[in-house]
Amino acid sequence: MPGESLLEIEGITKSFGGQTVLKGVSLSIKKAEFLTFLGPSGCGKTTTLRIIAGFEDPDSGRVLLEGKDVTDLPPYRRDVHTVFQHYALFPHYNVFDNIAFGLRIRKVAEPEVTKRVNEAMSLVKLQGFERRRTSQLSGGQMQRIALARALVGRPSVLLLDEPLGALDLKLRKEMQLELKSIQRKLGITFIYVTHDQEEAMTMSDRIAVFNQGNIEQLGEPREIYERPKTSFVADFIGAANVLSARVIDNKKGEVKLRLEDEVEVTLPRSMELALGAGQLLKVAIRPERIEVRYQDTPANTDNVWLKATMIDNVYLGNSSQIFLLPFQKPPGRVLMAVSMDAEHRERRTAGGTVWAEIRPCDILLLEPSPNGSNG
Amino acid sequence: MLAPATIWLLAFLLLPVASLLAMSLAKRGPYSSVIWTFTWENFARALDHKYLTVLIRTMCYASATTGICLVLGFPFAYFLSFYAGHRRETFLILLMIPFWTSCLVSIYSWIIILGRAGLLNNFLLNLGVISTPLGILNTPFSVILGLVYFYLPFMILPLYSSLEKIPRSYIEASYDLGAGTIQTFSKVTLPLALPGVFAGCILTFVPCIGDFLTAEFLGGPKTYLIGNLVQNQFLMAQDWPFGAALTTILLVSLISGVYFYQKLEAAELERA
Amino acid sequence: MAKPVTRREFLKLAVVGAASPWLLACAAKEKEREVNFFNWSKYIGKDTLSGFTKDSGIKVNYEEFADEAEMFAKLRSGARGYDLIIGTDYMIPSLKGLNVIDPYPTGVLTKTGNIDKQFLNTPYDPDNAFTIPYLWGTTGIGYNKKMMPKPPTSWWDLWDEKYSGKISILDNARDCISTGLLLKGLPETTTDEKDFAAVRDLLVKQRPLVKQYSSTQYMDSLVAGELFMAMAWSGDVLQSARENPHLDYVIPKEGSYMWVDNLCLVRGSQHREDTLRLVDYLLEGPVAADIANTVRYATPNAEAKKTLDKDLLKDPRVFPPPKMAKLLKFHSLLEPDIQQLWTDTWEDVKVAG
Repeated sequence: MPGESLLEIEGITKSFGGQTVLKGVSLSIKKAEFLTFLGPSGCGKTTTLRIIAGFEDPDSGRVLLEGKDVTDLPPYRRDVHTVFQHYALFPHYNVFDNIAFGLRIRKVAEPEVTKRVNEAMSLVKLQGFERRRTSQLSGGQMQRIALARALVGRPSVLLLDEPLGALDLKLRKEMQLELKSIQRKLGITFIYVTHDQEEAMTMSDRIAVFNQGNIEQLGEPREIYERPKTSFVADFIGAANVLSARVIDNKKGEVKLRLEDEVEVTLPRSMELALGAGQLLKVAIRPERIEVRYQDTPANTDNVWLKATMIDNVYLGNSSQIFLLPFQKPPGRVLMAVSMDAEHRERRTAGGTVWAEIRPCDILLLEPSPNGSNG
Repeated sequence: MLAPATIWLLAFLLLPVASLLAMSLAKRGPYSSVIWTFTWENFARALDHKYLTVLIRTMCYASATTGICLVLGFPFAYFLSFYAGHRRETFLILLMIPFWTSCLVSIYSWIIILGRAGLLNNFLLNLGVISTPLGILNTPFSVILGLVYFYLPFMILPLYSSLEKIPRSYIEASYDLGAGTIQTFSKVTLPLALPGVFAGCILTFVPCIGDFLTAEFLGGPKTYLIGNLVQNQFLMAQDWPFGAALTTILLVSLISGVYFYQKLEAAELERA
Repeated sequence: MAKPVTRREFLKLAVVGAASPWLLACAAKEKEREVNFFNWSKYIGKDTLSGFTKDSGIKVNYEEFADEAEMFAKLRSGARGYDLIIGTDYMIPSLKGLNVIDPYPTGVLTKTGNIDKQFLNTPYDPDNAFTIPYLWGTTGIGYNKKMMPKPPTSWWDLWDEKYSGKISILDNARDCISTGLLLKGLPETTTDEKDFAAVRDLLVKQRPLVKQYSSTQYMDSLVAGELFMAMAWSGDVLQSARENPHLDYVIPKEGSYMWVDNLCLVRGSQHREDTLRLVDYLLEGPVAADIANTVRYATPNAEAKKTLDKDLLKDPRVFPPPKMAKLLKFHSLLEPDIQQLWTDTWEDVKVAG
C-alpha cells in the first residue's frame, strides 16, 4: 500500500570524535517510495543511511521499521539491505554465490535459491553471468550484481549508497532510469544517497536535502526546485541567483522589496510570509526565468523590469548564458540568465544596455537556513 | 650488462645453492676432508630409515608449532586488525621486540624461567599448585614452547596484513545480508584471510623445520630434530657432503611443497 | 692499438692510486705486533694475556669457542686470521691431515724444557713437532652431592634408571664411544663393526635416561640443579664448584681417558714470530701455574708445579695419584678410515627413535 509510512527516523544525532555529524534528523518514509538523500559531502546523508542499515549507532534518537524500534538491532536482524558504494561483492564467490549469499544464510532450499537468483539476474539483465568471477566484471556489471544481491532477499527497504558514483556519465544515466524502473516494478522502498542533484531529480519521488547535519528541505523534486525554502537548497539544486532584499512595504496583495539595497521591485502577492517593513531576507531567481530584452518595451506591465549592463554572453550551443549587472553600486551582484532563444546568438556584444524581465512569481522568497549559514 | 637484481640473485641465492648442490654430490675423505666427486651416496644414505624418523619427528614438531601459532595468532591478529584501533602500532611494536633481542638471550631467558629452580616452578610452588618442581626443561613441551615463542610473530604478521587488507565493506555487506558474526567470520573473513593463513603457516613451518637452536638448548634426546642432524654433520661429524645432501633434500621438499600448493590453488581458481 | 693500451695503463694506474691508502694501511698493519689466539672458553688465567702484552708489547686478540667442533669447522672452512689455536690430542691427526697446522720450528722456543716428560713423544705427536701441551684433564662424572648422597663410583651409575631424566652425557663421539668400548672391554683401536654395534646398543640403552646430550651447556644445568650427574671434563666441574659448592667430580673405578689440549700453530699465520713468543710465555712456570690455578685443570708443565696452589696439586681429582693414574690412558690414534664408523655409531645413538 503506497503512501503508508514504513520507516521512521526520530531525532537522530551522531558525532564522531567530538565532530557533530547529525544534529537531530527526523524523517518519515513511505512504502514503495523512492527517497533520495541529497547533499554535499560531509552533510550527514551517508551517516543517516548507515544508521538505518545498522552499521552505526545513533547517539540519540530512534529508527522505527514498520512501527518496530530497530535502533539497537544489529544489521543482520534488520529487514534492510544495502547496495554499497564500491559494490562490496565477495571476491571469493562467483556471481551466483554472491547473489545467493543472503538466501543461503537464511537456509532457503537450494532449488528455491536457484530460482530466485535467476529471477534476480534477469531483473538486472545479467543472465548467463552466474559462473563468472567478480573480478571478470565491468563496473556496470558489478553494480547490477550488487543490486541483484541486495534485492534477491526482498527487503522492505533498499539502501543505496552512491551506487553509481564510480560509473561513467553515460552508463550512469542508463542505470538511473533502470534503477527507477526496477523500483517501480518491485514496489520496494529505495533510499538513495547521492550528491548529484540531477540524479536526484531524475529518480526520486521525494528528495531530502541535507546540509550540515540537518535536513534543510524535504519534498518532491518539482517542489524542491520551484519552491526552495532556503538559499542553500536554491543554490544546491540547479543554479540560482540569490539576492538580498529588504521589505519596504507590505500592503495587502502587494509587497515592495529593495534588491541589493538598490533596485526596488513590487510583487503582487505576499500571502505566505508575514513580512514586516524593514525586514531583511533573501530571494532567489532561476537563471532560465530571467528574460533578456534589448529594448525597453514592457509587454506585460505586471512583470519586473531591471535595466542592466550586459557583462558577457556565453554561447553554449543549445543555450546562451548571459551575465547582467543591474546594480550601480559596487561590488554589484551579477545576475545569470539562461535562454534558448536564438536571438542571443547574434547579440553577443558585451557592454550594451539591456533589460531583464522577470515575472513576480519567479522571485522566490527564502527562509533563513536552519544552520544560520545561508551564504 | 647484468641488472642489479640479477647480480643480487646470483650472489645471494644461486651461488650458495650451487655450492650446496656441489657439496652434496661430493664425498667425505680422510680427516673429514671433502673429495670433489659426483656421487649420489649421500642422498641414498639420507633416505635411511633412521634419518627418516628424525625427519618425521621434525615434521610433527613443525606442524604442532604451526598449529599452535595459528590458534594463538589468529585471535591476536583479528583483534589487532579489527579492534585495536589507534593502539595497533603499539601492539605491533611489542610484537617485534623479540626480533630485536638475540635468540640466544631469549633461549637462556626461557631456561631461567622453565628450570627446576626457575621462575615458573617457584611461582607454582608458592601458589601451592605443585609440591615438587616440575621437570619442564629439555622436554618436548619446552621445545614446542620455544618454537611457538620464536615463530608466533611470523604467523601473526601475515595474518594481520591479510585481515587488514579485507575491505570493511565486505564484512558490512555480509552483516547486511543477514549473516551474524559467526557466519560472517566463517563465510567472509576467514576465506578472505586464507592467503594470510597460508603465508603464516609457511613462514612458521619452514623455519621450524630448519631450527636447531631451540631443540639443542631447550630439548633433550627425544627432541633431536633434522636441524640438529644437519648441524651435527657440519660440526661434530664433520661430514659436510652428507650435511649438504640433507639440506638439499629439505630445501627441495619445502620448495616443491610450496610450489604444489600454489599449483593447486591456481587450479582451484581455474575451476571456479 | 696504441689507444687501448694507454687506456689500460691508465686504468691500472687509477686502481693502484685508488688502492694506495689501503695498501699503506696494510703495510702499517704488518708492522703492528699482534697474535690472534683462539682458545676454549674459560681456559686462561685472569692476567695471562695482559701480562704477556706488558712483557713483550705484543697485542693479543683473544677469541673463545665453547665447542671444539665449531672451532674445527671454522678452521677447515678456511677462516683466516687465527695464529694460535688449541687442539685436543685426538684432533691433531685431523688438523695435520687437513693441513691446518704447521710444525714448530726447531730451536726457537726456549722453555720447552719445562714440559713434563710424560707429555712428550705422545702417540698423536711422536716427534713433538706440532704440539705444545697446554693443559690436561680427564673425562669422568660430575655430580651434585646434595642430590646424590651416595656419590657415583662407576660409569654404570649413568645407566641407573633411578637417575632417569637427571643425567647429561657429553655430545661427543670420541668420549662416549671410547667409554663404551672401555666398559665392554674392547680395544679403542678396534675396527670390528660388531664391536661398534655392541657399543651402540649399550649407548642406546642409556638414551632414555638422558636429559640432554651436551658438551657445552650441561654445566649450567648441573650448577642450577637440573641434573644429578653429568659425564664431564674434570676442570669444568671443578671450576663450576666455585659457583655451586655441592658439585664434585669422580673418575669412575672402571677407569677413563685423559686428554691433553695443545697449542698449535695455524698454517698461513702472519704473525709467526710473535706467536712463538706467546707460546714461550705460556710455557713459563709461573704463567702456566696461574692458568691452572684459575681453570682447575692439570698442567703438563713440570716447572709450574713449583708455584701451583698446594690444594690443587694435592687434589686427586686434578692430579690423580699413581693408583688412579693407572686407570687412565690417552686416547689411541685412529686410522682415518675408521672415523666414519665412529661418527656413524654416535649418530645412530643420537637419532635412535
